[in-house]
Amino acid sequence: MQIKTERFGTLNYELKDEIEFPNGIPGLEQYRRYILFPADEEGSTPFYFLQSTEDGALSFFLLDVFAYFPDYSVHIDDAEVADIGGGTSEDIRFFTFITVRETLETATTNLKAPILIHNRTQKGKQVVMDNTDYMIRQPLFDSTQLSTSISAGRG
Amino acid sequence: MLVLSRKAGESVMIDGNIEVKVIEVSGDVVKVGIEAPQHIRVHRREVYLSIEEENRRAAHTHIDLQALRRFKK
Repeated sequence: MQIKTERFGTLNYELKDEIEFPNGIPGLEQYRRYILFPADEEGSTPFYFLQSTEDGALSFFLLDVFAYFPDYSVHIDDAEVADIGGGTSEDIRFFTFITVRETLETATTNLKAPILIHNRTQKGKQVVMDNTDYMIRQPLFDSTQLSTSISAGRG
Repeated sequence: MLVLSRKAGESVMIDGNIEVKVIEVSGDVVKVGIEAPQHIRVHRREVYLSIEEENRRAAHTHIDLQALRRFKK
């Protein structure tokens, strides 16, 4: 399969690699099918892209949330996981959306509503964790990191 | 919109399996209890709306791919 994208030019992908969001993503419910890939070829950063295969102009920038925030914890009930295929947390990969405003340095990520992607069923969903204090706009980099070095990229 | 008056302790049933109960009324704050099957998602509306808004913004985020290389795992 092939899709012309705004950000990455023409992408080739296999149908089996498509990730289905059965209910879409809140605010963009009409798009259901995406492909996920690391932001750099070596996969050496915690960043990923989620590109719609239905609209070449639609893509998200994702954070491998546990790689970046090792203390992050996910509070969701089994029914949420059952929606995309069930199993244990071992079957799920957890990401968060990143929003970049002016520059990468002021980017924020939505820790309140992680993205779950099931390894076996290739289904995904966004879960809103109402009863946590996690922020919708958590800064990715704190000011001390910015003033010294951001090369480590750890939060 | 259907509008019903309820007192504290009273509730409404929706579709036979969702109960919305007024727990307490205190000044301009109403405490509401909701009992629903597990697959029914209940969220504070403003939280849900801000997630939608942030998603739309995230979908149009601009990323400098060169700058990314500085951020190693």
